[in-house]
Amino acid sequence: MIRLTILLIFIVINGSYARQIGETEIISEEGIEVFQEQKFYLLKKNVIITSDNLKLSGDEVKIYFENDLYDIKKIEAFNNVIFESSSYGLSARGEKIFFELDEEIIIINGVKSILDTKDVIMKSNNEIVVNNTNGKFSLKGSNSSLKTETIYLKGEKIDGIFDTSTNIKDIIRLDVFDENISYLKTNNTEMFANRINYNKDTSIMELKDNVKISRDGEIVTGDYGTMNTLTQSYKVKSNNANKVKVIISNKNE
Amino acid sequence: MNSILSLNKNFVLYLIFLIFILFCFFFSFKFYNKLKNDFTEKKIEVSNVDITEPKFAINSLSQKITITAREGNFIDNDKILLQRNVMFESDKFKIETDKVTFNRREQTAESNNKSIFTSNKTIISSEGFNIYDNGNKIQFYGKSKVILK
Repeated sequence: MIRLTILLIFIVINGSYARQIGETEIISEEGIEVFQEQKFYLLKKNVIITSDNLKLSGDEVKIYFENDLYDIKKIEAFNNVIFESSSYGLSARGEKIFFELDEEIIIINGVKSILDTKDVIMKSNNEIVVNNTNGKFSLKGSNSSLKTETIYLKGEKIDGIFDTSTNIKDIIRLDVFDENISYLKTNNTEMFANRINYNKDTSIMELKDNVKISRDGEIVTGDYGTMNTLTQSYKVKSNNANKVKVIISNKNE
Repeated sequence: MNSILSLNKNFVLYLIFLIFILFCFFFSFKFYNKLKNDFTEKKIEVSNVDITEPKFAINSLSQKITITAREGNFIDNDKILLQRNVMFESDKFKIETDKVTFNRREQTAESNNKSIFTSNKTIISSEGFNIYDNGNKIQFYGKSKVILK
């Protein structure tokens, strides 16, 4: 009887501070520091944030608020950060992850940073920035890459804009740069250049410096190239008229 | 003849009187003991508590935090140990716990007991806390849980 009473008291006490539907629960192992004037609180060691549609874990988390503690403006999570949102089909990993809630900006920093949405997978060894409000995204650092259903691209710096008018993350602008070489692959074409630009309005992909286009065993090299993504036709030019080179492989014949 | 009638009347009277005296003595002794215990308890209570229902405040430019408790004991000139139903209350938040050391000079308060912080749509449970920098900063100790509504 006594044991049952103790158990009931324990359940009631714990239950009164357990997360209910619609609430957010934050657990930290080594306490919280609240800075009221600076309007942020710092959660230390093995921090886990759980709400109905997201889960965030990290070793240290700094939460900025507007007026009260619940009124969250910005979240900065440090050290082995994992973020998952099943309802938005979104997951992210990085050494640091920052969220700007009003502007819907996510910034992921560190080696092997990943942002995985339903339509796009972004990877970088330095920084991934996505603004969900205006659709702008940016990847910086070695081995930065972006993969959608139709394209795969790699470069040291990738800037672009998603179409925010639809649910599908369609790329409408793209600017890829790599001092060594940028790489872009569509269904049947591989493209290399120091700089690759894409504009959906014109459906033209523009390649600058050290251009190489490879398709069905045909390799064309030059200084400047364009590819029409609708017709799949491409042109390659060179500053020096004699420099454009075409290699046709026999392996498919 | 009935055997009761054969008893000595005087003997019976003496016996009743003796029992009565014993009863009186017993109850007097109990009453005396109770009085003595009450007096001792009161004496102990008075001697253990320096301040009953103490009330202090931490003042800053942005807020005033009122501190109340059932009991308070001076640890030294500045430090006071507040016990039982200790409550910190300001316009923005409330903290409840059972034991806090309040420093009047430094305007700080520290507790190593389980504490509950409540503010607008927020509950923080922790294993203690430290209020410093005139109440601007609050550090919650140990395994802590925040519920945002």
